[in-house]
Amino acid sequence: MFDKVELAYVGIGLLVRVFLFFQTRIRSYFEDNGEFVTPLNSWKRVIEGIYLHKLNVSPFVGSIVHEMPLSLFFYSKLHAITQGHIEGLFIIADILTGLLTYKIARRILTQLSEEDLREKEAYKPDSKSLWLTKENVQKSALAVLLCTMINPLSIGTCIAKSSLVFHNLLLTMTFYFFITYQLIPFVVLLAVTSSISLYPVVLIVPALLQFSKTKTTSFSIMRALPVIILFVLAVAGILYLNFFLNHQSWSFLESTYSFIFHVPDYTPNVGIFWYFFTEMFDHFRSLFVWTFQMHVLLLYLFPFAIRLRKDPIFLFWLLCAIFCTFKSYPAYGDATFYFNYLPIWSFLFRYVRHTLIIICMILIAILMAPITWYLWIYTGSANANFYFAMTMVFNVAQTFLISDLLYAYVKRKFLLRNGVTVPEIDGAEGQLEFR
Amino acid sequence: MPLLSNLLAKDIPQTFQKFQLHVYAGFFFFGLLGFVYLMSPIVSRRNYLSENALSPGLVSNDIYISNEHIRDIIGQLRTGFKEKNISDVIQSMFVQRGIEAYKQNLEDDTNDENVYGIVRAPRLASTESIILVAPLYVRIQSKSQPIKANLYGIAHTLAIGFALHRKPYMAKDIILLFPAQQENGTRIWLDAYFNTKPDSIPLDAHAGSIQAGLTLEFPHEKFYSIDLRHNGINGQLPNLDLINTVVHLCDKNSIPASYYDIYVDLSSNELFIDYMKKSLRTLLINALTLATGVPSGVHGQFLHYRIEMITLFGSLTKRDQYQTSPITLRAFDDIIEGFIRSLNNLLERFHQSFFFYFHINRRNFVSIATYMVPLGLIVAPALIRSLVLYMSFFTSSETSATTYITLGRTMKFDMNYSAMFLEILECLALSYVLMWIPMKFTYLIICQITMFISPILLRPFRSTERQFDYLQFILLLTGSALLGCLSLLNYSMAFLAACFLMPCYMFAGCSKFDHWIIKYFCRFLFLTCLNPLVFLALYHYLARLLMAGEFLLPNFNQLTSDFDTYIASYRLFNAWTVDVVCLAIVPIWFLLYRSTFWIRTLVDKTQ
Repeated sequence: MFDKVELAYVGIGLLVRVFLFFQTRIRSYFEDNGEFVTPLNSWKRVIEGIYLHKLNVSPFVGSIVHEMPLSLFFYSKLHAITQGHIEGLFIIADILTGLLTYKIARRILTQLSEEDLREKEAYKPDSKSLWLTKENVQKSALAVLLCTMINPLSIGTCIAKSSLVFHNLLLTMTFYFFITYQLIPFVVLLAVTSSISLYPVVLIVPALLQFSKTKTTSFSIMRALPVIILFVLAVAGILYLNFFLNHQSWSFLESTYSFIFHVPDYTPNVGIFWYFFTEMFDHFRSLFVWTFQMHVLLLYLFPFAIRLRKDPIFLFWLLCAIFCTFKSYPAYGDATFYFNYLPIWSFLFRYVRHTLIIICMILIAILMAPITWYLWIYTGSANANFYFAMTMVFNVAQTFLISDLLYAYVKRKFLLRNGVTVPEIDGAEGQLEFR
Repeated sequence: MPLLSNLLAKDIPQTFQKFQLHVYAGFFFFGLLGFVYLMSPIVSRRNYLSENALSPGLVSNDIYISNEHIRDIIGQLRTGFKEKNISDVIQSMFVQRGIEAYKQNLEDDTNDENVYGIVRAPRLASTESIILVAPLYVRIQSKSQPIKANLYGIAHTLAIGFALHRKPYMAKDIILLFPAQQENGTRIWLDAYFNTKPDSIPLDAHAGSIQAGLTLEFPHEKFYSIDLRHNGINGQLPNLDLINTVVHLCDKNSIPASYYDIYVDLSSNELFIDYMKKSLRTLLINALTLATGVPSGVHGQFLHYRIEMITLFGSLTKRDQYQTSPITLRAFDDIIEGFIRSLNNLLERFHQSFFFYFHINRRNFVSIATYMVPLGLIVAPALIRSLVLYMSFFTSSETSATTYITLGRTMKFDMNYSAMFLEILECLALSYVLMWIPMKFTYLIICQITMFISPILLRPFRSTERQFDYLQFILLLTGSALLGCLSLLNYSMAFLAACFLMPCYMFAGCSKFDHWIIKYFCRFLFLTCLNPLVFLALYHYLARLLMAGEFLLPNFNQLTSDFDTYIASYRLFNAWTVDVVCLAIVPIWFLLYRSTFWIRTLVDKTQ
């Protein structure tokens, strides 16, 4: 099933995770770390929820549990089966995510290279060095596998027992069914993931583009309609299931969707919401909550969907990257979800303009965040601004990364069709302008 | 927004390529000079009190403690010390005056006990408190008797506590703590007080949350000046406002206050050159001692719990030729009273003013914004060099006479990461041995020798020139990231590490030249000047010179014994200096050293 290199990579990932799970000090560090664990995905809160549920108290009365009743039910079953020793399941889920990501990477790359082959006639011959090759595909896919296995952020997320591990697995599965054109499982999984963390709901747009593609037209309403209907049905079904599992009460809405949308919890994390809303007067709050949320959910959605209407796969990834960056309670686990796919786009790196800056910024943010946290919380010699500066750096780096990759993608597409030779205009080198 | 979008080797000016080494060396030396320049009165700022609530010295003194009273207390204490029941004596003194007092056993075979009393505030419930600490024994710098009973300090702490008992204006509790075994006892008391260790037995009584405090170390019955000690664990410093309060009070009562036993007379009597010399000495000692990560008194333990505190040490040195009589009781008690009543006014925790500063004398300091500049200058070559290397990795469009082909930026060569990865792994593994061996000087020398001969035993790094550059690039980035992180946590340590690492980077980079003389010269330098142990010895010698203030001969025995005491105290304080050195600085140095043995593989296919 696997060849030697793949097995070696998976082995390394497995070993590192198992080894770190036995290091109690490191583990407890990650479990209490605000960069890895947010109120939405803390395992301690899940345990609390399970106990409250057992005692027949609604888990949603306080502001501790923010998981859906469905996931709580699922976790409580896992907890019961493993008798509390859930660590193994986290490792398995993380490794599974990695393997699935690897599969997705292979598929995406083969699809892209096939597309290159198909459109050969339309491409200018001098753009040959930009075409994807077999060797390229193999290398990049392996890089994806290695990345998922040794990415310190995903290892940290796994060690911190953040339920993001499961969320990411679900999202990866969604992505898998997305690229393999399996409508029903895709829609069900998308409904599940968006019911868990709300933001994946935007992924319905690339789905419409993907599943409504026909040989002749790129988009047809008649094919898009069933996708929407199915999705609405699935969401309604899952909501009802949640309602049913919560003893026929809607109380969970307050501490899940409202909690995600209205951002009442200011525990510092790697996002930008917490600092912004602590600094703000209360009467402006609703305005900015809506602005921020629309920024994540709507602002980029339509322009990108229109620009990338022929590349739903890239659009899918891009939207994931955007909501993982700007969501209300992000953690490193969210960032890893799309970081792990980066090697797929290695054929675009030649057009990425800020490579060094992005790498350095991310490095600095990751290294300095715990230090500024220590200075702020433990020694008291720094303050919240220091820590926020680091989360800001992290966010700016991600924004650079996303915009750069989008730019590179569009530029490559353009050059493939128009050739890499820049014509001379009025005796001077031509300049490309993207509008 | 094409920020640095077109970084290619051809964009580097030719003249820069030619004078690279000069530029880097220039940055380095300007950085060093810049650090020394921090002592100049132009750069440093004058102290001021940021927190208005403190207003030291504004309260009119209310307490009068008579000489007889102190003498009586000292007499009782002396018998207590003689009969080895000092904790009982102190406790009974508290109880006689109706103040609650408790003992805490240290739970070891010495049977020593901490004693503490709590003077409850009459005005409020116990929400906040101030702490006065007087260790039972104090370390003094004399060969014959390393520790001495802190008679005078304990007596005054007690007297102040008794005097402030039931004073109507006290709004904060006063905890009077008398720890045995200096730092050790303090740590055990703090662990129990804050219940941080699961196995520690909780204390009998608590006061409100502790805001700040003072440690009094007065082993002699008279003193001529006060030495202020503020170094905390891992380069942590107390809030500047707290220190300023004490300095203001000292000045008001005409008590000479010094840092590191260096007193700067700020009047116009002093020659400018003397002022500069003393400022420089203070600055350098400050940096050198902070870099160790070991505190200069029991206050370091409190800083760890966010309780701002400094130590006052009664020194026998006369600061002025006209100073004939010791400091009077009255003046000294005024300081402590003023301090406590200033803190009593405080509404919030110390949060204004500075936490990152360097003192150059008691009235002037350098803030973080200023002192980061020299370090920035020293580290800048690493960043510039990494950028230059990075630019040399890429190639862009090929331009011929007629057409312009745009291919984006691509690497000029295929990287083979495995050789580099192995090299890094080997170095890490070898230097991590340091963490496991007992920290004795002889072992360290053996370890060092193993490291030195390792390139001969193990396979040296074989690669093309490109890969060598890549390794350097990674090392430069990690090094500057490390120094950047350290500079926030412990600036002095980052500064010393930068002084050590930057020349290493330079000479390791020089080994790229093929001439054998240059190669051997670089290796020789790594064996001699750029060797961590030699650097340590140099550091120790410099520190001794500065502390003594006169010429001394290097003394190897002194070095080893100091190193042993350092390692012992380092373990006690939970400092991480040695960990950082073993886990980060030594591996980088070792990688750089090994890279001077780099063997160029002849085929550079991709060129």
